[in-house]
Amino acid sequence: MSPGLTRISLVQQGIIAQNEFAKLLMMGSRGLIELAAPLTDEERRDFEVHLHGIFGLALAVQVKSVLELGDLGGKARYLRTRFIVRASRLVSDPLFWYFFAFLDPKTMRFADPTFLVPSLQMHEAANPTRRGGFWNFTFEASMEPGSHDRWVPYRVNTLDLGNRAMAIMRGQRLGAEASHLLALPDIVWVRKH
Amino acid sequence: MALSSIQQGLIAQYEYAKFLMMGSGGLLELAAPMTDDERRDYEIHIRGRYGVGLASQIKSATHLHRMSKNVRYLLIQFDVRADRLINNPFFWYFFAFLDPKMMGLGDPCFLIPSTDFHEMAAPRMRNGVWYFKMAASMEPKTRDMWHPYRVRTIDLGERVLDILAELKKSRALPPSGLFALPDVVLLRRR
Repeated sequence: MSPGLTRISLVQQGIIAQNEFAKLLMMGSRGLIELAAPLTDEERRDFEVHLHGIFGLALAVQVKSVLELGDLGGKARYLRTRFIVRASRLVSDPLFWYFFAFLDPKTMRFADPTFLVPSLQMHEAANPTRRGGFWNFTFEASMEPGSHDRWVPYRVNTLDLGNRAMAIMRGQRLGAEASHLLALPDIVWVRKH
Repeated sequence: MALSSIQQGLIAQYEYAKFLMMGSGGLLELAAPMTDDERRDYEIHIRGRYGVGLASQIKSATHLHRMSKNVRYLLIQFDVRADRLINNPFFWYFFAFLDPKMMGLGDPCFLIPSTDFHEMAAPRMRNGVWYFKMAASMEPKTRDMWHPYRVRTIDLGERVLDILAELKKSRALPPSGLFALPDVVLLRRR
């Protein structure tokens, strides 16, 4: 039986991509990042990601992958994926991020670069169109090293994913800690103009 | 901080599952038992087929040993309670180096039938517990005792498909419905 006759199913692809993402976060953070998979997928979170020993702040991530790249008619290779979200389930939150990657069938791992995109930017920039009760998004990012497309700021090489996720969470944590100051009594805010 | 042994074990299992699924073009399906009482990490079968499944136990190391000047070895030691030792053609061990730099399994890895492994891995019994030690060279040209069990990660899927096909042949039995027929006598060559 030749394996070349078949290809992995969408379910297999989804699981492999999620596991690969989890592996790169755990190994890339030297074990500092912990991941939890929700028991139900009603909120479109594939993982809750937090730093070991830190409570109260977790990143939610939705993982999307493709098994082939497109060329959009030119020489540049593009990671292109379309997806639909019920409008009532669309989450735009600083703690909700998308992860996009090309799962290369030859090397059987993610190719560089991958993309870690905040949901707010994603929902604004990924050609959103609304049809009835659904939002359609098309994510189209160049995989070429010299590209200057809109998704360049969100590029991450696979070996850097752990560090990037830790930096995002630490940034969010600082913001959250600063916001607690607002709750203190007798605080006066002074701001430079 | 380093990876915990639980994280390491989970990642090695993810990698094994990935290479089996992708390397078989999606033909292999894996199932994780709800309990780990029998030392099986995965039950593996070919999609849509029933009756023949391979059980695998996965062991990994995150560093290699230099036992001589230029030779890197995968060294893995573990113990098993004697009453839980399984020697069965359907039970296989998978050993691999989980490379922290590449963040993935390194080549080669090793797929070994349980019976072969238990004989060859320097078994020692103490107080009802078997101790095993596997030291396999990772060098391309080596011809050590583990050489026949080497597999490249990208070949794992096809290798497991071959193993399942061989096991199916060796286990070929007449359809079980035959036994229900009256006056049927089963003759078997020894």
